[in-house]
Amino acid sequence: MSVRPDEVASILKKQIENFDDKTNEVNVGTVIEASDGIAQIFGLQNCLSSELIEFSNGVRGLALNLEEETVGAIILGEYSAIKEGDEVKTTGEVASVPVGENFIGRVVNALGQPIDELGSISAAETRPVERIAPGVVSRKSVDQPLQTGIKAVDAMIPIGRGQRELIIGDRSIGKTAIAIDAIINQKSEDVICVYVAIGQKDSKVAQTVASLQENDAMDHTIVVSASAAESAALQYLAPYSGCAIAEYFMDQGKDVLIIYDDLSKHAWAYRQISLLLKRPPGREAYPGDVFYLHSRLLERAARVNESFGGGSITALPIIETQAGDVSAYIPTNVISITDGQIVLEQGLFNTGQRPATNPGISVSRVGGSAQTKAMKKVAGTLRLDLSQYRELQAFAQFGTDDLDATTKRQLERGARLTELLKQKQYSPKSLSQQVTILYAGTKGFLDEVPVDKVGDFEEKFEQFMDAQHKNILDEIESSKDISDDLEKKLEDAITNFQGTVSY
Amino acid sequence: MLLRDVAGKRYASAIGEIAEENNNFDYWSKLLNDASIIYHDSNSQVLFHSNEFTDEKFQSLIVDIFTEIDQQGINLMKLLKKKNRLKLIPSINSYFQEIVDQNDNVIRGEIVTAINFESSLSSIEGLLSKKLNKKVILNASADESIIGGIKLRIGDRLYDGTIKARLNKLKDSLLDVKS
Repeated sequence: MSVRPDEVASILKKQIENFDDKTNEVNVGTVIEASDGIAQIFGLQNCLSSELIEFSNGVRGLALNLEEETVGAIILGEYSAIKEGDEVKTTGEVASVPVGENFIGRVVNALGQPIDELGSISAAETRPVERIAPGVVSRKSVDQPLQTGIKAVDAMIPIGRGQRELIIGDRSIGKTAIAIDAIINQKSEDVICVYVAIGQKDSKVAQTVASLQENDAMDHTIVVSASAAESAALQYLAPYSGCAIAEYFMDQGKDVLIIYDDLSKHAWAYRQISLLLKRPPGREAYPGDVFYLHSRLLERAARVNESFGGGSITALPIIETQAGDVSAYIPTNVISITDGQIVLEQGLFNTGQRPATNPGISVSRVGGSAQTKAMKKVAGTLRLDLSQYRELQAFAQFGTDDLDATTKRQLERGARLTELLKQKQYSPKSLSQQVTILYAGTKGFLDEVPVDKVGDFEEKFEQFMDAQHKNILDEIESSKDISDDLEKKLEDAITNFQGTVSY
Repeated sequence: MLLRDVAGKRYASAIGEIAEENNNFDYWSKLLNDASIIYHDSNSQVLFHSNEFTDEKFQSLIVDIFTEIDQQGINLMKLLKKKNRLKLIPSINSYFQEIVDQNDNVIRGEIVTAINFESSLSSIEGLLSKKLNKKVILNASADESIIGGIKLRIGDRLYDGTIKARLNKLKDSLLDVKS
């Protein structure tokens, strides 16, 4: 595209003609001190809470503390150039981010500016980062499933669109992996995903983006990143910005999945800001409003009814625990806000159970009503079998020789079902794939298969079904149910398959 | 004036109420102003920072220094000494001058121009006084970097009508791709 000079000149001419040079009144103050991303400003008498302010070098800030003589503000940007005596003015705006369709596939910072060097993004509109969550009138209950493609989650901890499901566990045991797999699985689902990285290593964010690209998942994903190198102010703002971007799509009636990775670091960033602003510290030195910090964010996840567009935001916040302690301050806060939690455990991870979900203490409080009928049919027995298995396992640890046949069978079944719930990263399974293999497992078709061959069995069975019984898979996908007739066909197919393998 | 202790505001408003009852703003204003000047003088530090004086000695010193001081003034000084708040004097003075200004319906501001223009200052003051319905007292200064026009600051409100500000605005609007 060539630029024609006369066009440029005409644009400039128009801008000069329409140039508004009226002297207007601004509210000003003076910087008393600026340090650690915080500025104390004298004056600014009519400044509003959470109003954007502008420093004399163009950097913006956010007024958080309104005191008798001074205003305490966080600086959104480079703060080393701000010095004592600088003039500050109010802008009359609240912090907002640009949003729009063009953001899909891009990596942006907490202010909505691109950081992926793919050029500027033209926004559809700008939205305030803080917004009151949809009210009672506009909401409706969760009734549509959000398939994560992970057997252990979709079968036993189902997530519905509009739900808030916490992913909690120690460092590096696959919390992010679950979230990324869920994003990848939305490829064919028409769900837009927003991944908010808060206080993470830039290398890890780059890795996440790369794996999303590799799995063709960036085409429906926006990454909002406030890495560990950015100021606490931006880390504090990032989830709210991400949510504002997500809300734009929800208001258009679309379904959105947003991941906050992770809210413990967000709480740390807020603690830093609060302590520097001299707000009184409370438990674990967090400020008094740390609960509200997360509750107002997660309340914005919602499923709105048709008269309000019918869109949804499903939130998957992530919390990192220290040594499996889910009863620390921030974990308990977020557990009580969310509609359930997926608990990952170090012990399970180390025994090779990946994803390391603990089905005993993981719950989904509302997702059950959104689960498909087909999945409900197989998952009911699965949960029962597994809980029986867990109970027996403890007491069968010292040998199973003297046990009666029923108990032995339950133990054998449990071991195979546990094995079946293992799943490789970046390989989300479709609903029909999950239902058929779990059906085979819960109906006892795997009882004769050696435990270490279960994975192999599953892989071959998938290929077999794909090649020979595509119609069964298609019917499950379309009806989302297993009719008696279909059940018969499925059983025949499994029996057929058993004939083709040696175990 | 920038950094002042907010605690002084309480004392200032209390003194303001007393002054209003007795209608002697001028007396208090002069007393606090003098006290503030003496406080900043390096020779008088011993008076405000030493604990050596007995109350009687302190009172007689105060009476000697402030010749026109009345009983209420002495009481204020004794109270400040007792509460160990003598260092608040400059802050109390600063807040009290604001109260005096408010009482006299006076508003203070700063005006910056490119060249010195003391001559027409009074006419600008008169114009603003009419507009704000208050007596305006301006403190003028010159700054060549603003090129031309006037920059006026009253309280926390800033009216920037300088050529420099307009040029900056024009630059911003030309660089703004969206509009």
